[in-house]
Amino acid sequence: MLLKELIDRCGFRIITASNLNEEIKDGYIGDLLSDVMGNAPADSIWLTVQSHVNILAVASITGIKAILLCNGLSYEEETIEKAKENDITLLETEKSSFHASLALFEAGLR
Amino acid sequence: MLRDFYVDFHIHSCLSPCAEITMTPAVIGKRLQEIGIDWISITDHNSAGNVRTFSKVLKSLGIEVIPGIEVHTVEDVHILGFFESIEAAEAYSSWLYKFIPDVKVDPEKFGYQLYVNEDDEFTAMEEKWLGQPTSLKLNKAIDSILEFGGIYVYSHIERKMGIVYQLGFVPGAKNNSEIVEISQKNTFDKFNDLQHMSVIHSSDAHSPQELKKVMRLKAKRRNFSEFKECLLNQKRVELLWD
Repeated sequence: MLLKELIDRCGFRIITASNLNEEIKDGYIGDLLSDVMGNAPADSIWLTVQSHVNILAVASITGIKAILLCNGLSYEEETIEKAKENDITLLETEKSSFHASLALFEAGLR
Repeated sequence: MLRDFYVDFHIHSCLSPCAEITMTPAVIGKRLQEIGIDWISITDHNSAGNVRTFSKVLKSLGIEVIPGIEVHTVEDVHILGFFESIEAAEAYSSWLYKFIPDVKVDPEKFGYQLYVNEDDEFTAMEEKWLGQPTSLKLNKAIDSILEFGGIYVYSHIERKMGIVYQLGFVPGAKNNSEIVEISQKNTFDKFNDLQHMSVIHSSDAHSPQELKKVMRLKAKRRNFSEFKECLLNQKRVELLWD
C-alpha cells in the first residue's frame, strides 16, 4: 500500500513527507535500536517511542521508509532536519504502538 | 594540599559521528585554554581511538586528560568508562570493537568519524558506525570496564540514552557507590534519588562552542587516583551551572 494512503486512512500527523508515494510492505514495532536494526524488514513503517536522531541511521540501514512516533511524543529538531536529508517520512500519533498497529492493520497493511 | 581544578570529563572528538569535525586537538586545546579548563576527558562513542593524540597535544598545553570512552549498551544506555592509562583505554576500546555490529553508514548523512594526529591532520576514517548500540548488555559493559581497571559513570541520566530516561531508574543506586552525570540544574534540583549517588556535571560537548566550565574539583594533583577520589567524594566537587 502507498504510504500516503496509509496515512490518510490512519490519520497520523505528518512531520516530514519525503516519500509519500513509496510502497509500504510491512511494519515493525520496537524501541531498542539494536533490535530494530537486526529485525526490521525493508520497505516498512516503524512504530516506536524513540525520537533520537539515531533512529534515522537505523531506518537508512534497514530500508525503513517511515517512522511513526507513538504515544503523543514529538521529534527533536535535529531528527526532523536529518529526516528531510535522508528521505524518510516522520509521523506522529497520540495512539500507543499497539493501537497504532491496529489502525495500520485495519487500513489494510498486512 | 588541595588545589582547585576546572574540569570537564565528557567531551567528544571528531571521531564521534555526531560531533563536529572541528573537534580536533588544537581547536579543543585552544578553547579550553581560553575558558580556563585544565583537566578533561575525551569520551568518544564506543572508541578511545583519539585519546592518545589528544592526551599528548593537550598535555603540551598544560591540560591533563583522563582516558575515556562512552559505551552504548544494547539497552540504548550510555555509560562513561574512565581508565588509568591510555594503554588500558586502548585495550578496552579494541576489546569493545568486537561488540560493535559491522554496520557502516554514509558519513555524508550521519557524520564523519575521523582519527586525527598531533598536527591536527585527519589520518583515517572509522568505517563502522560508532553511534550504534554495541551488543553488550549494561551489566556486562559495567563489569568489563571494571575488569580493565576503570570506573564507570552513568551518562546524562535524565536525557535520551541516559539510564533513568531509558530504564526509569538507576540499578543499585541505594548502595551509595553509583556515580551519575546530570545535564541540567533543573533536574538536579528535582531529583530525589540523587542523595544516594555521587553526581557530576559535564558539557557532553560535540562542538567547540559547547565547551564550558562545568565543575570545580579540589584535588592534590591531576591523576587517576585523585580523579576517582573526587568523583566519589562530593565534598571535593562543585558543580557549575550556566
